[in-house]
Amino acid sequence: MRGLMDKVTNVRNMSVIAHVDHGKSTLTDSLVQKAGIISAAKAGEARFMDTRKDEQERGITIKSTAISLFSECTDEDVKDIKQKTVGNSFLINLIDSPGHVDFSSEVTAALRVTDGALVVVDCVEGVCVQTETVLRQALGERIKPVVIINKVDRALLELQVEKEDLYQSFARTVESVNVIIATYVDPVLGDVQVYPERGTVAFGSGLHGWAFTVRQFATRYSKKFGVDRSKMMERLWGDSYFNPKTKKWTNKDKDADGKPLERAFNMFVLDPIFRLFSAIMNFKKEEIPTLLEKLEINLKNDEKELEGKALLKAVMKKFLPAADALLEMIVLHLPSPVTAQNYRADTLYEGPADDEICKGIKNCDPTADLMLYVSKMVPTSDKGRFYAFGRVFSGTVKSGQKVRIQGPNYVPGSKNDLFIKAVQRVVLMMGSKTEPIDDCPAGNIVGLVGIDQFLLKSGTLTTSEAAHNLKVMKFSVSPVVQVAVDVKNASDLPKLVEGLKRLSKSDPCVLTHMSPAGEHIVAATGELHLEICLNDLEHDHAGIPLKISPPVVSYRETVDGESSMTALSKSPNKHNRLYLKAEPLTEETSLAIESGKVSPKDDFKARARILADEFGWDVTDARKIWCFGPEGNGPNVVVDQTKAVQYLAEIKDSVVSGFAWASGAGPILDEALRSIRINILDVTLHADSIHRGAGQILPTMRRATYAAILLAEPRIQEPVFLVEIQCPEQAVGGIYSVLNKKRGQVVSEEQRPGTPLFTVKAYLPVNESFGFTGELRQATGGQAFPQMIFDHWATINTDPLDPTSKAGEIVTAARKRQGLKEVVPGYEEYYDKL
Amino acid sequence: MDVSKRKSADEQAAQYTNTATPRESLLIMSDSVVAPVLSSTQDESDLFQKYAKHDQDRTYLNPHYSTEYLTDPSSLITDIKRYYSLDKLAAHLNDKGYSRVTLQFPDSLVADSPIVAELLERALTSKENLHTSDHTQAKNVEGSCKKSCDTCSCSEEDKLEKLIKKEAKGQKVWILADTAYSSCCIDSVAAEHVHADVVVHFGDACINSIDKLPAVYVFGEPVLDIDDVIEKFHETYGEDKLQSIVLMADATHSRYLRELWERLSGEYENLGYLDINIDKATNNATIIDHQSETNSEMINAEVQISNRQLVTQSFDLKQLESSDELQSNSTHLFHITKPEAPHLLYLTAKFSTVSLYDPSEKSTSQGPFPSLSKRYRFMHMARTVGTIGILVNTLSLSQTTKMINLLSKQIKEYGKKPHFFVVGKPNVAKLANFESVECWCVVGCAQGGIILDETNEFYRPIITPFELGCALGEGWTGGWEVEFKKYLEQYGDDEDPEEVPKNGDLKQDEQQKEEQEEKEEEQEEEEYSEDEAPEFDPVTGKYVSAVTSKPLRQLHHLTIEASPEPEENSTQSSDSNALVKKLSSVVAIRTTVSTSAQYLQTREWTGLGSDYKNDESYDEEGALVEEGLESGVARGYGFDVSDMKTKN
Repeated sequence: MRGLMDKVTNVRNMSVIAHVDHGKSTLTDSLVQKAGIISAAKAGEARFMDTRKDEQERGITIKSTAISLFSECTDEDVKDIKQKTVGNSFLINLIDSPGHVDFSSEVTAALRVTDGALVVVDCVEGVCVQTETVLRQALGERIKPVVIINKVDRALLELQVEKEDLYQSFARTVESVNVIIATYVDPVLGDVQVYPERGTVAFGSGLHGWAFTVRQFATRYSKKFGVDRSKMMERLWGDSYFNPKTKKWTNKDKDADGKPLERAFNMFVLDPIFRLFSAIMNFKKEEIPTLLEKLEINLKNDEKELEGKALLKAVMKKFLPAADALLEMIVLHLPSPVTAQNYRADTLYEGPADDEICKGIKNCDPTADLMLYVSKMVPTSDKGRFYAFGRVFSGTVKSGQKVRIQGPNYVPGSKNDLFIKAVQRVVLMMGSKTEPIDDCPAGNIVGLVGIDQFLLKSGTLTTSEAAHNLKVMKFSVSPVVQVAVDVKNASDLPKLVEGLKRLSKSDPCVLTHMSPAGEHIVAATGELHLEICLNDLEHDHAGIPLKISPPVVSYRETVDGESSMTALSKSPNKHNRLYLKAEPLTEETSLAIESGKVSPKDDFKARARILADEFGWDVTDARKIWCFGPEGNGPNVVVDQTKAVQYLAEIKDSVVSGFAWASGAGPILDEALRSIRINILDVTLHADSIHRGAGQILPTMRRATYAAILLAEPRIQEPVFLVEIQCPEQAVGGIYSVLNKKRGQVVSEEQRPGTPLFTVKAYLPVNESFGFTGELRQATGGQAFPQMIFDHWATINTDPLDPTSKAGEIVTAARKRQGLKEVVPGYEEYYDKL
Repeated sequence: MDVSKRKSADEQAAQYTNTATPRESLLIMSDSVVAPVLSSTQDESDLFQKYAKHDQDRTYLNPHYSTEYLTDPSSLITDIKRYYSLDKLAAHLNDKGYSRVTLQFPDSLVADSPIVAELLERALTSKENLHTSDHTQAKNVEGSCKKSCDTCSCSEEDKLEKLIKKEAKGQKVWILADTAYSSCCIDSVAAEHVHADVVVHFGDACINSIDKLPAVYVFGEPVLDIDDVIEKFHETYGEDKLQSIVLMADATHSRYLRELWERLSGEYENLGYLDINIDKATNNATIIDHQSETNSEMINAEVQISNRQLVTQSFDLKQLESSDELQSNSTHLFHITKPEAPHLLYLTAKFSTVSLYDPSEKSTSQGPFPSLSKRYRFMHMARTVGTIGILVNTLSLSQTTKMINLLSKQIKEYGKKPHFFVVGKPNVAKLANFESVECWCVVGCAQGGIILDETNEFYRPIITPFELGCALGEGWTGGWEVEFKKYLEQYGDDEDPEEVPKNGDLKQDEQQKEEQEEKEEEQEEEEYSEDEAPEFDPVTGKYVSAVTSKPLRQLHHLTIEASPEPEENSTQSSDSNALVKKLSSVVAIRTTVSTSAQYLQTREWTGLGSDYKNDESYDEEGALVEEGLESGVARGYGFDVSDMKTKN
């Protein structure tokens, strides 16, 4: 296997992504079985890639797991590969990812280190919210997708659909996948839409271990008809019909006499499968052997004894082994690291596209300087220690090699977030096991031992001092569901802190911090994620009994209008005055800042241009943005609108610090500000610099900001989930009643064509989402299962200063919890009269 | 601030009794004094903040007669005499023969100070002069002052005379105005300004030992409705008569504890009270009119809460071996009056529950108390900062020097940068002036000298030495200590042995040193080749690199880096008008890392003209200098005068 790693053109790094319960792990089993790691009998049930106990118990994947597989291709197949290849052995580095929305961050981490994605879609449920999310992410990372339509057995056995209906359903699914791809496609990537006739779509059943592509059938028939395979492939999909009488191909669905013709796909591909199914499931014993003979399927003696589903499974596995179809798709259509890094380098690397490092990545050069991205931490059997899991993008990583570890905040040339440390060991990740190797060249996925203490979640390893970072991953989910955790015995607190550290490491997305009141907060993306994290924390990372508060939501403070009058605050010595007004930023601007499109790092002129052109700012104002906050990059800004104020530049630093302080904890409930623009209208300063020092300006800026906010119709914002629920028609009523009770807003309701399933999409405040799943289950008799993903911040349109309003209730409760005075202080507290 | 004043007691007494007084000699402070004009525009509202008129409430003297004082000042004087036990005090002072006496009042009692001072002066004099004829004269004066008189110009003269006489004898009484740090502590610095022989401290006191001066404490004798206290006590603790309860009060109300305890202990078996332990103060401290429990069988000296010790007959409470066991033994505290926030927090950390009784409202409360978890957060914040300011908020407490030296040593050992600050009474603006200090550690009196910052007023967290010890040491234990002594016991032990080996075997020492140095060097080399692991900061949930959290650790890196090309730095002088120059990635001044200089480098404003650098229309030439200001003194700036005129 190590030898294959050097032949980078024959390596495929791919992740398996899909909506929850569409059968990723089950499908992956087929591949793992093919490689001989698990027995054929277990495949489809073992879920080899679900390495954790709770994953097995719950039947869902929680962590993404990597495995390296060896595969061989026929010479004929190799000819069809449109990129450079050497020989016909291939190394497939596969990452199985979780499908539940709450664990999307695991998918992001998996996508970063791979070049291709196998998108699994349930043939009955079709494209769901998470399918779209992960597909969008994949395309954002410039990752090529191939699709498998899974659970075809369900369609045949449960829904008993006809051939043409099944074709239509396939076609619709492919269509909707392509719609998403078309929306998010990156021109650099070329045409990445999927086409069954080109072999980038497979159909199958992970549970029964079979799958096929049109290409496989085309191979069979091309000999029979004596037609070229690629031509055959095109004939076997779409509006292509075969007239058995005339033995002619046509694209009309009726023959010359007006009689309906059967679609080629139905006739040549689906027909044998349907026949097998009906023969076996209807126990037509006599038909089976002839059919098997015709299809050249040889059963072992003991398999011949089987009946019904078991026989079907055995037969189908022989007839259309899933691994073959999948491997064929992966090897033929997914890019090798060499191909992929050529177009991915620009988006991966933060530095200039023409420096040595970037060139090394582009060429996937094993002799260049090392560039390795650690995308996540994988716990080792040694408690508290982790493998740094990542991908070598250029150079070669060796055991004992001294590397520069650059954290997410590293700036080239500085010492911030930079450590130098030797890699102790290099390992290959094989599910829950590892295999030590000496070194690993560019293009491969590895685990590293000995550098885990230096990286919290992710980072860049390099040997070059000039190297910039590889881009930090952007997650599609936000940790908005929080709980406070506490220990039962105060002397266990250090253990809790250590546990929290390990927890933050082990999960790419979970955040831990301390509330202003001094509680340890764990923030996760959803209730399930939170549950898993807390369970890990209690039993694994900290190992102590915990007290866990009911879930809480973090809010944001914002304003709805402009300050009704100029907010004036005087410095403690009364010699300096700040005159401010607050006004709201548009949601678009806030989002642009949050996504990094408008960032404090930009050149101020370029930034002003964007703000003026796209967000309707006044250019002069846009150029005079003093700072962003909180943390220097949040969605609030301070704009200098003063005219000719002396010494103004001198107090800028103090104003910036003061705003950083104020924007981190607002006046209403000590939460961060959002979407607020503070305009400095005028400033009066003392003539002596000693009397306008930081001590005078800094607290004054905070007071003035608070006053300006309280004068500008302050509001609070709450996080809102997008909920997608799929259920049968009779359950829809139940969904509506629960949604109504929970302040939910229905966005859309659609029936999935060809199925009795309805898809309801709605917005649901995170605050109301606790226990939502349970109530929904109750109201619908267990038929509805929601997927919730953070969507946006919504302003609560009532006055938070009025304790009787909805917002006021939230504020009062939150202030009480934090040990603040229950009544929000009025602006007078911060406002000084002239 | 630390100015001592001697005032004409009669006048002041009259003035402080507020509004109508029978005295004609009342001197009204003139409002017409104008402060010097500062250089920026300002009006009177800037200079004189308006405070609401404060009606002096003297309910502590006698809750029923407070309004009567306005019409009948003699009752006031009687009450004051009784409240402060002035006779006993005077006797004590006379006994000891102090000639320069300073009186210290907390803000709440300062209104009484002139009367007390005068009465005391008289008492001292009268005793002194018992053997002289002055006695009668003084008596006359007193009589005339008290009873007569609309035209009392004679009293002025008399007093002058009196003062002269006293001064001749070297008997002087001073009122210490405006305590510098905390009002519960003896302000020895102020007292030393007048070379005082003794400080008489009135009101609630922490009785912390001070280094030099003899101190006399007068707590006062407030009125307490004991029946009501007992009723409230029953309300609070109900029927369970076996629970362990401890009574406590501030110093003023402590005199009633014994009586309370005697009345309640029959009912509640496991009841004790915390009595003031005068031994905690130094030998030269005296408490006037206070009897401490002397029966040693009743005292459990193992249980000490600040300056109190436990007095009890309960077997359970006697068994306790230290105050730390109070919490685990689920002991409840019933405290009369509400203590200062730091002290209250300390008590809540010691006892399983705390109930406060407010004598003026006659009500009890069980919270809200200052939050311990907030302290926990600050402790964690201190762990990852690079620069710590040691804020010295006391000068008189004994062992202060030892304490701050120990702190500074510990901080340095941990690789952080310490700075010392004395700012007088700390406030937000003063502390925010030192932006590069990331965390403050306040060293002060446990009862009133610690800042808890419950409303997040301060820019940077302020922690106590105990919390700093947690941050630098083994971490949070769930307890909360405030006293120096405990801290010094815990961390200061290793300090003495270091001073000892002076007479010891030098050679051995040197050898040891060399070995140590070698070891250190080895370590250094290792550390340099591979960086120290970052620390996890649970406050932000992020890693903090040792570069920021332990700036002093970089020192050896620096020497290694700097030595090959030491001249390089000096040649960089392209930007000569910049205030801060980037020397290298780390700023070193001589042999130490300067975090403040590092901070200055991050500032955008680097000196005059730096703000125009990015300006496109920046004109190198600049404008001509014009003479516009008449003089160099700020208050004479012309534009201010004109500004003020146009405003008015």
